[in-house]
Amino acid sequence: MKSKVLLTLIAIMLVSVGFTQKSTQAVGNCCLSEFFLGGKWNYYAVYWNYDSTVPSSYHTPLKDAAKTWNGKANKAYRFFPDWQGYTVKPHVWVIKTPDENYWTSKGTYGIGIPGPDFTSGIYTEGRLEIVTNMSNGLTPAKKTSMLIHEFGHLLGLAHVKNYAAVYNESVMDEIDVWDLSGPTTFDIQNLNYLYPN
Amino acid sequence: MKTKKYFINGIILVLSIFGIYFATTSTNIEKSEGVENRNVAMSATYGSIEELKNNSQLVVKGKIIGEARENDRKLSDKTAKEIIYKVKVNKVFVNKTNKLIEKGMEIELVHTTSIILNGQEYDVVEPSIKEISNGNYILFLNEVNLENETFFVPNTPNHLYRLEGKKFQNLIKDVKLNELNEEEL
Repeated sequence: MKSKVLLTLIAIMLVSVGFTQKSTQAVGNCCLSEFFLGGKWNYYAVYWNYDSTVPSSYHTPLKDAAKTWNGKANKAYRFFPDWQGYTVKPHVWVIKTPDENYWTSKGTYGIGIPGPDFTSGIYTEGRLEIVTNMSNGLTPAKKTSMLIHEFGHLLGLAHVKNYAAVYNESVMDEIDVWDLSGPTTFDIQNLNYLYPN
Repeated sequence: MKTKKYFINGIILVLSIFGIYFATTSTNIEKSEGVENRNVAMSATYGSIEELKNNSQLVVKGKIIGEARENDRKLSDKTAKEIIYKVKVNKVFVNKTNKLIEKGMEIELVHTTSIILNGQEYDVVEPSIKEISNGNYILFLNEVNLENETFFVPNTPNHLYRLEGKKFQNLIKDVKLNELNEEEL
């Protein structure tokens, strides 16, 4: 009887140790330099619009995707608040990629390019290229997910890979993103770190 | 009485299995690699070999040989930085192109690593695959036709399988198809 009690205690201990380790790793994994591209916007609102090359089937997903980032960074920042019909800086342009063949063959859905100083500077402009031959077959919800990911790059977030990807759900993970309709707690933690109050 | 005993033993067994599972899996995964990741392109990941094959025009087993060479390709408004590898084909699994590709032939694999736009360089692949080492691979390829040139590219940079021991291991570690056997093709 005593050995049974002992065995039960050991089993419970192993379960709790395992759970504790898992949760510690996940929480302790926030805000590493590898989660960021290196630069950031120095503005509280970043406007965006699309040009005439972007097919109409992307207009609503673009608006929905942009909205999901609004007010997420420490509440003070409103990224991509409203579509603007004219070019103002800070500004993000959305275009259909001019090199469809090239990127479609390589399985690329989109590219999110903040600039002008990509890795260490202050962003004042950005470009989101959609590879429509790859993305046209996506449902509106999946188009939105893909665009949320690209807007994440434009904010300065990098891909979440390897160890971090195992323990955290993120729109910046190329696998997780398809099942997500907005930035996760992990994404917002990283965003808040990049854009503190 | 006997039922109660079985029930208790069952609970102990289940708890032990879960305990051992959680304790071992949570310690075996390596800590963050801490590598800066400047990849701004979102590429496809596939969940099955069927899907991978369906999205490839050419599937081969081949050996990357010799010295790779760098190439700057002028696109519409940017430059793509490529590394071109020579691949000696050992076996053809799928060929939907109109080219005859056979065992013993050499093909060129064009691997785009970054783009240059307005003087800035942006990665379009993960840091771990900016360079591909020589060795045996299973490659899922597509044909690119640009003006007067035709060449092969990986159908996505997220599925590149290198022979490690007896299995082909994906160079990208956290996708669904981490490894595959030649027989599965």
